[in-house]
Amino acid sequence: MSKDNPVTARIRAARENADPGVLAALDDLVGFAETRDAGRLLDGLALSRIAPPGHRARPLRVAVVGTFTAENVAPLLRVELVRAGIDPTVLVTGFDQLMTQLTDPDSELARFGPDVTLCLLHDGALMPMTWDPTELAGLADLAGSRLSALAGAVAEFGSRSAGAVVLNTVALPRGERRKVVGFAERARLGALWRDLNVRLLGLADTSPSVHVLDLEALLTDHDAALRDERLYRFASMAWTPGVEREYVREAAALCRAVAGRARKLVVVDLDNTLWGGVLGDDGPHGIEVGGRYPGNCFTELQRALVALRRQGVLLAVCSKNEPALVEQVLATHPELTVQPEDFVTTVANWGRKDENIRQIVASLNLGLDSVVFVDDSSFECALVREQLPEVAVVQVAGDPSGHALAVLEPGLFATLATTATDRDRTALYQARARREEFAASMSSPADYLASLGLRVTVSEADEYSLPRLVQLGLRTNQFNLNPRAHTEADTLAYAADPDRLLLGVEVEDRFGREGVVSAVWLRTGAEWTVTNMVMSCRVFSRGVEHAVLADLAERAAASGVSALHALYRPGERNRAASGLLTGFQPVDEHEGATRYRVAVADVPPAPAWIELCRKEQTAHV
Amino acid sequence: MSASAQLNELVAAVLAVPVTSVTDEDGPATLPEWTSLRHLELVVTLEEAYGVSFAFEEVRSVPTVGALRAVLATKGCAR
Repeated sequence: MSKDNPVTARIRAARENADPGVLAALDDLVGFAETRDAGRLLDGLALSRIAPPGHRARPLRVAVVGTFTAENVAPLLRVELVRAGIDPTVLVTGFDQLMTQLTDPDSELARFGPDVTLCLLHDGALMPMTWDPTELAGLADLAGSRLSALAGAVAEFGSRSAGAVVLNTVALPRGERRKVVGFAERARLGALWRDLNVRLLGLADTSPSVHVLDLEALLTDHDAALRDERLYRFASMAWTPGVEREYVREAAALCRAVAGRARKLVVVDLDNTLWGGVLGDDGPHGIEVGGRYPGNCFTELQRALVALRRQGVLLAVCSKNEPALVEQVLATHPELTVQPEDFVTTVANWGRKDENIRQIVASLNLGLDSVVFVDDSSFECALVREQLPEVAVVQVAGDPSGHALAVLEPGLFATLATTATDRDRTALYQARARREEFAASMSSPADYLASLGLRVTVSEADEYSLPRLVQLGLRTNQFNLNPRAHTEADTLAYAADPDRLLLGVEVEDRFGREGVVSAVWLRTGAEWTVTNMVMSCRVFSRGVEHAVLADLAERAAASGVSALHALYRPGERNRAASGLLTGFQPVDEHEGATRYRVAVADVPPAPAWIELCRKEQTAHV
Repeated sequence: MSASAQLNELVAAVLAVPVTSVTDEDGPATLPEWTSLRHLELVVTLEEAYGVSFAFEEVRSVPTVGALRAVLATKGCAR
């Protein structure tokens, strides 16, 4: 084996001379040691030295706070995050400082101001060193009081910090399990331990910003030991490097979700991908799907895709095939799990796939960096990698039984929580396509808008809309007045605070409900300030933002307020949002953004084609 | 690459120092980067690289790269 690792050597060299190819080369890191070394070398190195020009990385502050020594987590995490389009700043606090770091308002952790705090837990977090696994009486109480203390510390930290806090379930080391020789007692110990983990998992329900990674479950698919006794006894390292890697993969997926970097669209090939065989050669009855192996493997992939679709991921077909035949098979083949309506669009032609993907993405108003491309062909995969480097390519090769898991790679689609809008997303996009057909049949854009029957409802956040508003704040890139102004916890604070207002906007037209598509963060007082507004690209170009502004002006006037301010921070992708500020005047620089002002009396009424509705605010029990 | 150069490179990679600054005479006493934690990582890295397993007693207080090479030789690894 060679230790002259080309990737780490290139990172080292990039400190002297920028090398824009290094970012892509990080995908070639395989071994544990070389990945860790690369992560160390990346520390403090500006991403502009290793990424191609125009690479947009999302900054993210991540703290690693453990109840044991986990030296490799930070460098491994750095590599994963940089690969995922994130520019991380990582803080690692000293060994076994979790409780003080969380509870001291002036701790290193508190001063760091993390977006994500990874609280690494091992069995020592739940049990004292001297516990006796053969004496279960009282153990549940002991561990329970430790858990309560942990929950209290997490809640206290959450009251001061806006970021996500990440805990994990804890595996019972075999040394403890084996101390118990009776199988009956061992089963009881197992039950007690699982109960502790259930309580840990339950902490995720205490606050939307608390997350619990189920590490114990992850390790059932991991082939190495939980613990290297030498490392543990000598240096309090409770996890082997392999466990650190498993943890980091999962934590990185969560960080992606926090940073709004989750993929939103799967573009999937048909022949030898969605089903076995080649439709054009084998015919509709010759393709393999359903029944026994290998057809059941393709069914499993379809089940995975449908599950993703139900959680808000869009599906599109891109296949070199006869369109009429594809349409027929998707509509009529009795063994298919996917149905035609699962796909937001079906593209079957003989054109280049990179061009087809560009068109699909443009028609859905998404970015190429939200796409996952799934295909069996080395040629197509290489073409898309080459032409569209932002697209994540999953080549399904080898035994088809592995295809579903390849698509369900944890980092790709992770999201913090799914919402009602996610479940309906495909239907929403399909309605959008019908709307566009309808628009094409109209003689002018004005006729079109007038005939849509648009109804816009602006209302204060309630427990039903809140998760969706949080999500809109995190994942909207284009119409976003003040990108990254509000974390999840900020948004929750806006909803709860009497001096601030969080508004949700619902849009409906003759084709159906769009659901909650826009959010407004507002500081109230003598003059109101819109600290951010976001709007889904699904409802662009319909004047919805002007209706929202008119609604804000009405609310302000009713409260005796004479001027509205809005904070706008121009970025690379959010130019769409500046259209809202027509009629506003720039005032000054404020909190890193430009503050604009308009007199309430000067705000025009809602566009004539929009009916502005008010919802009775009801107290939800 | 000779086996001798390879050990030096492994050490340099773990300590994140240029390979030119690691000689057989260097060890925790001469390289400030060679902390006790890095020492442990070096042990784990060598195990991965050479497919061997150490008792920590054997390698806990190895003073130099040269001495580490000698321990590896007792395990039948290229020296």
